[in-house]
Amino acid sequence: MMRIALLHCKMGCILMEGIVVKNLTRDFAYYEKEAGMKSSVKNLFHRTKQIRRALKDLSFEIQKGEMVGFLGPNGAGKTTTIKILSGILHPTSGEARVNGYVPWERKKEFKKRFAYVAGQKSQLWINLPAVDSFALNKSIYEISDAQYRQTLGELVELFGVQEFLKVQVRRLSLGERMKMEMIAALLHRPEVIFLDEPTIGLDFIAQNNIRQFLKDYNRQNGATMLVTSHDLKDIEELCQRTMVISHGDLVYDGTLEHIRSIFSKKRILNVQWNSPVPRADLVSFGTIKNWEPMKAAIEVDDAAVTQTIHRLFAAFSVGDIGIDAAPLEESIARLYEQGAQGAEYGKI
Amino acid sequence: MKERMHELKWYVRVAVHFGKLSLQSTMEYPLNFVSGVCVELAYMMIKLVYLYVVMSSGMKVGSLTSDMVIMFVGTYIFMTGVWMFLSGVNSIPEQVIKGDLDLLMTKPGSLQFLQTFGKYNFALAFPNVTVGTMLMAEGWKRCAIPATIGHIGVFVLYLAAGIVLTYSFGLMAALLVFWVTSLHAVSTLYAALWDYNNMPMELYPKVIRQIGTFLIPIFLVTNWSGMAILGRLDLLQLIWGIAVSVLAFILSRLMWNAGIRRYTSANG
Repeated sequence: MMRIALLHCKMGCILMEGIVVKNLTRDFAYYEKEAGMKSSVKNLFHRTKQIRRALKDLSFEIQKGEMVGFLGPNGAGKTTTIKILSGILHPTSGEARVNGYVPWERKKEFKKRFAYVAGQKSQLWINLPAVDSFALNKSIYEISDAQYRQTLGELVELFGVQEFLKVQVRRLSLGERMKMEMIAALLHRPEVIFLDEPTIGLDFIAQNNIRQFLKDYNRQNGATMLVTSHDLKDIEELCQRTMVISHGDLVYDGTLEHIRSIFSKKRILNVQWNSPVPRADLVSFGTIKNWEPMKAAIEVDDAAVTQTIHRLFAAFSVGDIGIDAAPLEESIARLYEQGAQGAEYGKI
Repeated sequence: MKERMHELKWYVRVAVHFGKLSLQSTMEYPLNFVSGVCVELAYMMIKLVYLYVVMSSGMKVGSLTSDMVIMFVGTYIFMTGVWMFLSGVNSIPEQVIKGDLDLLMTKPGSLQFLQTFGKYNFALAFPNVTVGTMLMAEGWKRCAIPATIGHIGVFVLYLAAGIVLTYSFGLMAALLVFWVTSLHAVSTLYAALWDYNNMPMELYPKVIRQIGTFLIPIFLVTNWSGMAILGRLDLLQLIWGIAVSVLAFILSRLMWNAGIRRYTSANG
């Protein structure tokens, strides 16, 4: 048996810095209704309460200063976890500590030490320039004038948004607005940051800016970050460690590369020909993932790579050949699928 | 004690900041402000027509003269302005349904404070508070009530109690969103109850007065300040006026806590 994730702190240990989650469970109640009027009438008198378990005994730890990616399909429990750790939701059972605080107790001191950034939520006053919302946060977080000036100056420079500070938020592009959201969230210099889909809806330039900014902020401030995203690039670029959650279960805890090595026993041969090769002639070599007359991408078993290359050279006039790992998305998708079937790879 | 003072100062400072930003937002779109004022003035004209009928006919409402009625109608219009002003309270249902309390919950300080005093509507409040204040002053003058510190103190005390009731009742009505998904019926019912204060409570039969005083004490919002100053309330009623405000505030606070426990955000 292989253990992918090594937990550093066993049961009973509470980290004063960083994040500790133990056996976190969250249920949501709902009612079901069959189609049609008959069941509507029936539901007037009696409704059977159903429980959906969004989180199932979730446990993990994140050390101070770590940037951890949180992956999972829709409805896996990523946002629920982040909302519990931010104190927005109460868990049904289990324990959690963020920098030593129980999040759902919502203590003022705790709230001053973390930030929650959600790509689809805004804290800015839309009819006013962002700088007015920043000033409000200065009051709320009781930031001194000197610290406010210094932090704002640094964040504005990191993002390069000086020229947009005095522009109404509603007039900003989505990317510019997201940068302003980040600045508003980080003005009080949080030690822990929860990022829920921080780059959603942004173009790739804005995405790169946000990622670079988060890396810089982490390096300069040693902030602990938990990032959820459907965009694997966010996780690949930002996080050394990735947790994968599926149906409320933690199914993996380790590096992204490791996921690929576990699930992908395949390689992609990218071949360029000196003269056109018909698609039909390549079928016997492997699964054709991509084909054009002068080039092709062929998926083959890891063990058959060398032999297939020899066969290709023997059969065709090969101009160039490259070997790539199978796309990470495919491995992640397989992890999701197997997670849905109840496998727990983080605990193998 | 020092900590409490620090906290109090924080709440005042943040509330003032919220007020400034609300006003600044309004000033960014002056036409919206003007149209809001116009809408409220149109509604107010209807209220003033009732008053005009009373004034021109010289009719009495119960034992109240038409001059006294001016003060009661003024208080009602003023309180309507207060209700309109608290857009943070009135926007709770929408915020809850859309899951927009999330970010607010992560901010230091009381969530109830941040939500209910987080936004103000100056456009809808301005005409009501201005005209209401003018009518209260005019009614006071016509009734020849001496402007002593004692009289003004009592009037302001029950006006403040009315403001607390306006806040608490409005909050409780809005908080029902945690238990029912559509608040249309509740909002309509609450607005209808509110309009019972269009005229002094003496206009209504005794059974309605009893219900509006003890069961659903909506009459206390706008009647008690005027009746206290005119010496129409006995000691028990004076105490009841303050007690109901305190109880309603406590109840709204309990209801807030119970509601927030049911908050599941938008896609939790």
